[in-house]
Amino acid sequence: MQLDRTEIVIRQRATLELFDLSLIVLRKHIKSIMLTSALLGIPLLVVDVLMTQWMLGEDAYLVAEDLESPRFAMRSRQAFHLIMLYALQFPLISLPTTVFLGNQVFFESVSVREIVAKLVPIAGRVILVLGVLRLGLVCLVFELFVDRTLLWDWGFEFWMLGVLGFLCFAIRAGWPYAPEILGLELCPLATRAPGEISYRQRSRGLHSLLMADHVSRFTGSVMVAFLIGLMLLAAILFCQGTLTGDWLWNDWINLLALPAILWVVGMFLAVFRFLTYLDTRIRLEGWEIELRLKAEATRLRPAPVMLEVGDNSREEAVVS
Amino acid sequence: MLAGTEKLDCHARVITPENIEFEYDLAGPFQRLPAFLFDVAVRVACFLALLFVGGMLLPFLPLGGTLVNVAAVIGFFLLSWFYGMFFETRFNGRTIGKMVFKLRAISTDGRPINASQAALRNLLRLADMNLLLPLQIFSAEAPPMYIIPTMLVGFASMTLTRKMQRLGDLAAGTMVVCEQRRRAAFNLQPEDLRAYGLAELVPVTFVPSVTLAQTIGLYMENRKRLNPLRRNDIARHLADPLIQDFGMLPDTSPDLLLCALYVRTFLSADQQQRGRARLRELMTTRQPAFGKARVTGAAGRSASNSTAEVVGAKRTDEATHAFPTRPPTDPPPPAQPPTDPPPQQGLP
Repeated sequence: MQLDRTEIVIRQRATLELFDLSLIVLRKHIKSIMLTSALLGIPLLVVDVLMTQWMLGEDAYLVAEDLESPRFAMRSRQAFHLIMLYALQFPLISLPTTVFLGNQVFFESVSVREIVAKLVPIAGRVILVLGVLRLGLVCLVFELFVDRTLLWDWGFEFWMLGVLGFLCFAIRAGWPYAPEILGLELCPLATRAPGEISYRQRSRGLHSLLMADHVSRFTGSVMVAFLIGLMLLAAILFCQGTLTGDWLWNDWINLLALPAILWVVGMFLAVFRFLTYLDTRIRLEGWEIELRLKAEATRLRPAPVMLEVGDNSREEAVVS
Repeated sequence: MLAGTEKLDCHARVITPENIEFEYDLAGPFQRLPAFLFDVAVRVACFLALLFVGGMLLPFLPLGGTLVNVAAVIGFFLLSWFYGMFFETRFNGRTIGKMVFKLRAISTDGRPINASQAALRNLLRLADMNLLLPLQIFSAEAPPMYIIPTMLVGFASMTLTRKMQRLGDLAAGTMVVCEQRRRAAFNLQPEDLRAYGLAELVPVTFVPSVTLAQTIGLYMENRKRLNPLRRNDIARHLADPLIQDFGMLPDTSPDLLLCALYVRTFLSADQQQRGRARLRELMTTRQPAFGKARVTGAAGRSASNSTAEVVGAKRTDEATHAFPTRPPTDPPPPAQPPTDPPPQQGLP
């Protein structure tokens, strides 16, 4: 690995420039990013849709039929659940993409099989941090306990999925790089060998100093994700309207189009988060300088650049 | 550049007919968005101001409301279609929003845009605002008026083209760039004068390669934004093998060594001489801090040798490490608290 040969130019960037760069990276590696984000994204989205589709069924209609527009209420409820589930699962889903980009940045292409091989040894800590502590998988358990006989289950829908979910987002806003720390830096949860850095230590070092930046970037990314999502939804509505003459929101949008939109937006956000991670390391640790110095040290190692000189004059130096 | 190793960045390279290469920072959809919204706000404010003035003049106008309505329609038309055209022609590719956010529309060959290019790219803005959705998306009974812009065509076009051009840009042969905001490299002087002393100890036979010189320059440009611990941590990668090669003491400060290499590589002999003179002056005025050095210096060594001892790099008869790592004249380190070093495993 030649450390100063990076695919992405390593330098400090503003947030808006990072958004633009995300589009460039996405365009360049669209196939690989689609593949890696589908690795966990598609199975989890299928599970999410299966777990929430009852909200569009006849039983749910009977519960909501007293409302002025029951179909609208049912679709909004299912969309809320689906978006919350996907957003909570996103760090987990984006992990393979992060591993791919982390290698690709040094021109080291990795196949999906290799990514899986890299993820298997760290699966335990990933599931614990991203699946349990950050609710990535626990949210599916909450979903199982939602009372289907109620129009709105305050216990599980509001407190567990809503309030706890938003708290989780708040934590993610301040400490966003858990997937990078676990998947790229391979930090263990607890240190065993001296000199090893634990996940907690690394997270504190990477996040605590630029907390305001992380929160503002997270907020910005949510807004951009919302805009891109709306744009894609509009495109889908346009296609539906021109093809069928029906311009209104339908059940198929909830069951097919919305998951597809979430998946596409997720790909963009995974790239953006990886780029902000690089930017954070550049700002905080001078990563771009470190890479250059390491690369120079590697070049020096076999034979230091020493010249033979005559009469203490550098001008007369001859390469030995 | 090797095939398949294209570097990704928001950059566009333009080579003039004179074979001179320019590099521009491209502005993509997200960098353009604030400027676009600002321009929309300016246009709305202008239109509202026009309506307000029309309302104030209403009693004094012969045709009253009719004239104001006509003026409002004409005003709306002019603001919608000619605002961008006028400003970009008059102000060298910049509207008010672009001025505020430091953007500029230029030709793809690097020249300023002309009136026809400005006209074309602004007239085609409507195409970039497609797809247009009808009001029927809100209600089936609504009239089929396609007035809700999604900007999808422009966004897709900017995503798919190398120079991040929307359709208007493609037709007019223009692109939007950020005005240069990167500072030029300048001649840095290490604030730690011991670097001048240490520079003397670097073997005269050592000539850095081009990449090494660039790396040292990059380090010097950026080291001030890092805290001292991190500086040493980073510099150690390169300094350790060099310390070994130069036969210096193993605990020579890595940061100081890179500063010394910078002095040797980038500063003129005159500048180096002045730096050493300042170091000697400092040694004589700050006796407590440089006590050992003064003693060894007084033992009949040459000035250059005594400065070398201050640096604590060459092994001498006296203990050379009695001195503080940083002389008392050093500016306080940046407010940034120390960070944990990045882990050695995984991503470097």
